[in-house]
Amino acid sequence: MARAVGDGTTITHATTGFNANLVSVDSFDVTRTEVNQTHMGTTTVEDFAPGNFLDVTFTVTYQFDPALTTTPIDQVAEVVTIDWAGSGNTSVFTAFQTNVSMSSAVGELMQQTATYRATALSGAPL
Amino acid sequence: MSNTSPEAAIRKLLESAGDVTALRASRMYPGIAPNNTAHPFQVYSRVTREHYHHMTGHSGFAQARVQVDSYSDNKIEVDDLAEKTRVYLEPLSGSTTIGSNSITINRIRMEEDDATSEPSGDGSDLTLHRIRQEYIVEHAVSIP
Repeated sequence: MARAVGDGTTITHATTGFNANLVSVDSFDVTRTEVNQTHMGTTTVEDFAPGNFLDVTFTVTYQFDPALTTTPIDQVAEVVTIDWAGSGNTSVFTAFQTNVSMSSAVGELMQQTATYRATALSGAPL
Repeated sequence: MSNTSPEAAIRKLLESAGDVTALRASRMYPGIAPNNTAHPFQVYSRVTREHYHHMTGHSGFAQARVQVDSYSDNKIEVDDLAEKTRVYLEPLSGSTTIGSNSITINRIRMEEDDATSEPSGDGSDLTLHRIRQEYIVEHAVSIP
């Protein structure tokens, strides 16, 4: 498997069209539920089965341009696509923003960090 | 858009600083001053420049650290020259053109300064006083 740096990664929003210069994708977190099937006859270790549900959240950081379209924190869920390092390998979700935070400091580019929660997947998450 | 170096822009801007040129006339040099330059004088250079990128390219923004050294054999005079330089530069922003090239400066702010004194090195008993100022020049750069 080829290694790659993150350069070239993009994020697109199908409905709002929100777009900004992406700096990083952080905390891309996929958790699968686990079903405890342990019963009286189980021996040695507890018995778990993989659940049917995934919990997907991710956080992205943008360079903030006040002239750009406002962030879709107040919009309904939309299809959000992350193209990893411009490879064409994508993670496609129906997702909405749950948090947006801004930073503005002397000598630093203004940045915006947004956290998303997925409500549906299109294909495998990664 | 932004082909002019930030340090050249600083020099160009200071050419219009009447309080500064009243003291050192046109004696401002890149890197090193010529031998036997009359006092006071200034030397300028770029120390570093930091560029900002995002995932798919250049942000179009950079921050240069430009050093301006003021020299004189008169301590009061060199302090005055350095302070007048700071007072003139810090409020400036906008586009500066040199020849057919230009640079758009968002902001100039002085990051730090220090003062030293040492023998002039010309064989005389004079002491050469220096104020070193480092300015952060926030400016736009062309996006490739």
